[in-house]
Amino acid sequence: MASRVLFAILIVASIWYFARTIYRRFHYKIQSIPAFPFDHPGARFWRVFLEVVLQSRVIRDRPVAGLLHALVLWGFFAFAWVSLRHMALGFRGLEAAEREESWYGLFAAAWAVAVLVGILGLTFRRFALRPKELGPLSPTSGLVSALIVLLMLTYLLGWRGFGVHTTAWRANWWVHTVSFFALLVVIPQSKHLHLALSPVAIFFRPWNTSSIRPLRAGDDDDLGIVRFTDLAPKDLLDIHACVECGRCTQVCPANLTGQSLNPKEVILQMQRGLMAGGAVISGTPEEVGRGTAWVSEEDLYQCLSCGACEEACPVGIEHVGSKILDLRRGLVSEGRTNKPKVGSLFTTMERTPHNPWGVSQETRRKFITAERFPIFDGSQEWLFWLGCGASYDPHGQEVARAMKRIFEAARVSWGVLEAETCCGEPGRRAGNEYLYLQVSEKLIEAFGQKKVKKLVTSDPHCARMFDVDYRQIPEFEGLGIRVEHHSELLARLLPSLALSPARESLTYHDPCYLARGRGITREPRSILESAGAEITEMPHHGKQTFCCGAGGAQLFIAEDVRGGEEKRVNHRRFEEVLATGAQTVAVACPYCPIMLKDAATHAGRDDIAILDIAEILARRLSG
Amino acid sequence: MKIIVCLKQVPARDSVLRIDDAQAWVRETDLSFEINEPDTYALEEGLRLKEKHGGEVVVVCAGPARAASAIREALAKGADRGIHIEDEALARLDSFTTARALAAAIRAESFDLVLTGLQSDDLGFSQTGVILAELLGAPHATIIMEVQKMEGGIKVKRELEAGWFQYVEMPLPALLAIQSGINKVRYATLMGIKKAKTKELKRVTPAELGVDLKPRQIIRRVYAPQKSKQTQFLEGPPKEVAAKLLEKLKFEARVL
Repeated sequence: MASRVLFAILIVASIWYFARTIYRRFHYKIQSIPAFPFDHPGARFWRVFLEVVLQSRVIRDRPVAGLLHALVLWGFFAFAWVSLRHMALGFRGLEAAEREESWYGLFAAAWAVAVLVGILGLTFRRFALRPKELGPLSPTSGLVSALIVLLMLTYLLGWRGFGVHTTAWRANWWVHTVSFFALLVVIPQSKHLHLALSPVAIFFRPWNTSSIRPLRAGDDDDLGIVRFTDLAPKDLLDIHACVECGRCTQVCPANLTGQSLNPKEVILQMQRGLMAGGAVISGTPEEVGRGTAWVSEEDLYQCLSCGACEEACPVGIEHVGSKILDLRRGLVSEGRTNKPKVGSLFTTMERTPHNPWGVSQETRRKFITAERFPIFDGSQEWLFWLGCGASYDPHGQEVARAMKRIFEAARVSWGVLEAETCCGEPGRRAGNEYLYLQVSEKLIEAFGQKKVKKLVTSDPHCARMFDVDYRQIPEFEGLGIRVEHHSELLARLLPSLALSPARESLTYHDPCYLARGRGITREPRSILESAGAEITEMPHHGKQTFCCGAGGAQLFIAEDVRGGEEKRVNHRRFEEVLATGAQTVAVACPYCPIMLKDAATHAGRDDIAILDIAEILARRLSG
Repeated sequence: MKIIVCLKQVPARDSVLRIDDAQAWVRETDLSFEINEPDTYALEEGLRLKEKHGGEVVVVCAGPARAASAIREALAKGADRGIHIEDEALARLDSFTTARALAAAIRAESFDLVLTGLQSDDLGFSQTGVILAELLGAPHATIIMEVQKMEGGIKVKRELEAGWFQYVEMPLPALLAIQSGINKVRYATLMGIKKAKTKELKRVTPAELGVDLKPRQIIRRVYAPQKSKQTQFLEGPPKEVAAKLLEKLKFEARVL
């Protein structure tokens, strides 16, 4: 009887404590909208199955540690029935216990061994190998490891070690019970809460990285994230789901080149600020030092918005779109950013001709006239959106010329706008929502007047802007415009093109906003292969691509000297290009070649050709 | 410190300009308009002085209805209120008459300082500011690089020719024409735009101010300059080139 009372007290106390800790973490006055996304529920559940149950992401980036982790997790699943029966026995009284004879006992014992292997391996890694990305040693992790080891050992001893109803068996049973409840108390207080939160965060994660939410319509107080009270429920979930594994920081190009941005610390600082009852999230480094802000503006403005951290995160955290970029937006909306280059970008884009370089529209006008680009008047099928890159940058213009040749060869009906402004991409990524709303309003009006139905662009940043950001604006969504990156259209046109492929060894640099931001990695490769290319992949490719250094408006706002002795992002990427031994690097974005060209010159390797997929394809057109 | 900033709205810098049917000005249809760039530096200087010394920044603009957007932009950037002297004739009025309209509106304000840009990007007369000072009976200084507040007045730095500067002490109230590029203008913010909605933008007509807009100066004709220069490259050995040059200077250019 006494044992049953004691058991009941333990279970109630630990559940109460568990609930209390969860409540403390989540009873925060936050914004109730935007709601959690429920589109494509089947695909979302499938993603949870792959990433949680099968541990695909955990294993992908760290095969050994990932597999050890998977053993522990799968063991937990196997133990669910063991634990339930253990609880039931606690209520029925230990007298009711019988020797376990079923196959399940043996099955669980096998998993107990697997969990022991897993947890001891992980503990060895954390406390003996001490990889840098895990951060300072955490006593809680040690405690959790010890509790799991105890649980497994006591299970094994209870199963075959001691005779049922002996004193040793009873003592062992209680050690198992107390360990179980102790775990229940420790988990919600630590990063181990991820085991409850990560499936939810993964379920609700957007389909592509770096997604910025629209500001709440009609809410004049929504200026982006300024205070902790501006966070959305998914943000809160993200912040508490962090497992502190450091995969995000390990792949962050800014961090890898010696800058101070550390995406894991951004999340953890937000967690600390939240738990400490902080008010304003981001501020100057001095404000962070004084404790009146939690995340430094310096760090925020080093982000390339490349999405590598979100792609690497095994628990579904959105570091970039809903945190870093939204915090930038909060700073800019209140006019609080102190970065001179950020201010210059905005004041340049505010005035005509509304492009980040401030280059006269005359340059573009002369270009499209000299090249005899047809002017889009609504009668053509495709609007070829040049974007600032193909309008003003000499290499971008080369890409536009190549596109014209391909369009003509494939008999595509197309045209360009007489005049373009920037779509607002660098403005919005740097945090200036107002600027973005102003330029988009005029463009949407022009698209409507010209009856644009299909838009193709060689700039994945513009494609992402129109296809994701602009769709948040009802007036644009109402126009029903289909948006494609040129790689998608060109890949479809391949069968209708007469090509004379020539063997060429090259490597392909996936633009972040195409691979992670749009999920396109196959099409550019099939275009290159049709042109005769043999692709040697760089270590970072596909969705694991490494930024060229231009994203997140960095092309315009990056500081001149950063990271001291460390390499710049583009230099680091170019080293990967050189390591492939290829003489040509293919690109699919107007900004990557600018960054790579700079790195090539720095490395004294101007012999490496940097060509867009459209240029490579156009060279192989027959006749 | 109560600071008045005068703004003009001009065709956007990158516009394709076409001469209108009367051949007396540019065709305004299809044009977009912006705050005259030199005036943006005056506005920024005004906002900075207010942030430093407290007070109020009032934006005054004499222009047609479209110019209201320029005032709203200034309010969004931090000006406290706006006065719009509205009349379609103000789109192309001469400096003197424009200054009279501005003076009539500004006189009602007990100002400490009036700031203008150095010149307008469309007409480029650089006259409105100095005439305005005269009409207001206030001292003025032009091409101002720096403004310092002192006991009972201000000390300003003027840019002269050939890298020389001049420091002038002036009493208040005064008018200053601000040199372009002396500060880094701020960007418009979402919060500023939202706050601007509640700020006062007063519309007045020249008639209400008792100003007759009869122009003192009329543009008779606007035309694109004729190409009158030509460049020739002489190539070859130096001796030959020198001989050719001499011949051309003697017989074609007739300067020798």
